Amino acid sequence: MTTIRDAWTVTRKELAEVFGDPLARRGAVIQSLLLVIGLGILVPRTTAPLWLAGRPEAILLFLMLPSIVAGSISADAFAGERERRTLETLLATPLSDASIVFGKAAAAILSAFTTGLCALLLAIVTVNVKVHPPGVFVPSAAIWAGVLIGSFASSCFTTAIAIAMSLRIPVARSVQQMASLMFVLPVLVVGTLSEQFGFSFTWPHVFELIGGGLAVGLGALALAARRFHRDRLFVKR
Amino acid sequence: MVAAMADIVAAPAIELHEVALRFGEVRALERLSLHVPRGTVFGFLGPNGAGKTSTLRILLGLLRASAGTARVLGLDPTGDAMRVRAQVGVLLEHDGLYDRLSALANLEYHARIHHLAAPAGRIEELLRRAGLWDRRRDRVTTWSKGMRQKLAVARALLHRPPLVLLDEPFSGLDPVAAAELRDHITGLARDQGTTVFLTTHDLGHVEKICQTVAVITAGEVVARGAPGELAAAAARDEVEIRGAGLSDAVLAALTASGVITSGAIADGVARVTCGKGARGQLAGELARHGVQIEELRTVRASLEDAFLALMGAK
Repeated sequence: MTTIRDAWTVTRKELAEVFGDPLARRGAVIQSLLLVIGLGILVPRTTAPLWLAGRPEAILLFLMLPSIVAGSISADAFAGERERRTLETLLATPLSDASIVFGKAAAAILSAFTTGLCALLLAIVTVNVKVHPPGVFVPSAAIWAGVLIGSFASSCFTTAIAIAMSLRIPVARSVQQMASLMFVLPVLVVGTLSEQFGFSFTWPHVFELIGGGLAVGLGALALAARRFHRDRLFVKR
Repeated sequence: MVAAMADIVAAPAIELHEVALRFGEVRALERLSLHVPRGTVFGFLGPNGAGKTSTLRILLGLLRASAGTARVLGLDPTGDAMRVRAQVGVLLEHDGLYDRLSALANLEYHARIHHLAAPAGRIEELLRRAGLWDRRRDRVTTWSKGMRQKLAVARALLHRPPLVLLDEPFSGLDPVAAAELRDHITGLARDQGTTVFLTTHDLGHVEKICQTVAVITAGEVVARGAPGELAAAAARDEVEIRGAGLSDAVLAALTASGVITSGAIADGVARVTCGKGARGQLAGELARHGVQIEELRTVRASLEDAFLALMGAK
């Protein structure tokens, strides 16, 4: 219980740092807005029929792009604190390793999940405006579940990668770039290959992918927390 | 269990025994032993790279000693790290403040970390004491080094820890603020029984507030004791003479007669080395050589003299 309370303390601080500072807030808001506009307006304008038909292809980008927000925020987790020279003071507090890691992860995942949710709501509006269906278009349960669970799963995965990297790499910008690449590259490879071989995604495929991503993401987060040792951060290299 | 608790309560604030720390071939600490009683202000001195920061990290359980034992408030800082950190207030080499947060938000964050119930009053007390209350809603990125330092000290004291570790607490403070902090530290130890373990390069502050100091160089303690004791040990039997008629010829005559062992004149002031046994003769000998003495005083060594002597710089 204390770990959860402490993790929430860390999460609140992380979010306050991002959204309380004008400069940091501007960057985060612009990034999120671009994603929300892209996913919520531009993409559904061209894929509206897929949405109406309830096709899984409609939401594939929702599985990928919100995790960029997660990667960006979580890259700041340790590498950013080290850059700003606040890490040692943080580690000298009685916060447990788990509460620090999960608190920072939660801030990243929450931001990404909120971005995905906002984009989904905007996409629903866009599809309704673009197609003018006979009644109000409300996505199927599969789309809701796919977007919400999928963006959560991919955010967990990216966050775990970014946190694991930021424990070792001292520059937050490098972590952001590498974490994005490590997530986006496999997705692009899978997408290209499936197109090449004429593979058609069905909902079972998507949920298998999401389930796998969720398991790997949560597992990777648990591993990152387990491998987090304060003394390793001070060993002279 | 009761006995164990009693041991913890009675234990010294800090006890290091033969602690060593190695990073591969690099020896950061060698057989470091310290004993810091509770309720005292302890100065931990040394040149840059001597091992002070590594020692602080061991005390906080951030680094594991390669050999030896460490106890902080009776607890093992490695095995009981959380309990140690909960009872210690720290100001490390960097102030560790979150630039993007306000002063108030920085302290509120640490109050939540320490699970303080209703911390608003304590936060206000500390900010007012530091003269920062009116600026509490400013983001600290806009603050001067001195203001940040005061806030970082306030953060270290927020949860009323029985042990406070302060790394260069006077850095960036103006003389008035430094004097206020000295008074505060002295009051913490005297009135509340808080143990203060501080490192600083400003030895004037150490002489004023520390009961005990240890000097470390290259990872080893080379001297320990009260600041006055270390200074006295470094005293070099020097006497300063002001007056008319002082000359190199007079000093040469005094050296020849064995009253002084050496001496030199600079800006009209003679500084001579004179053993305690010969000091009784000195005034008479000076008068015999026609010197009209205005002032004759023993030069007291300072802690800085002792420190420099220990470092081999003098």
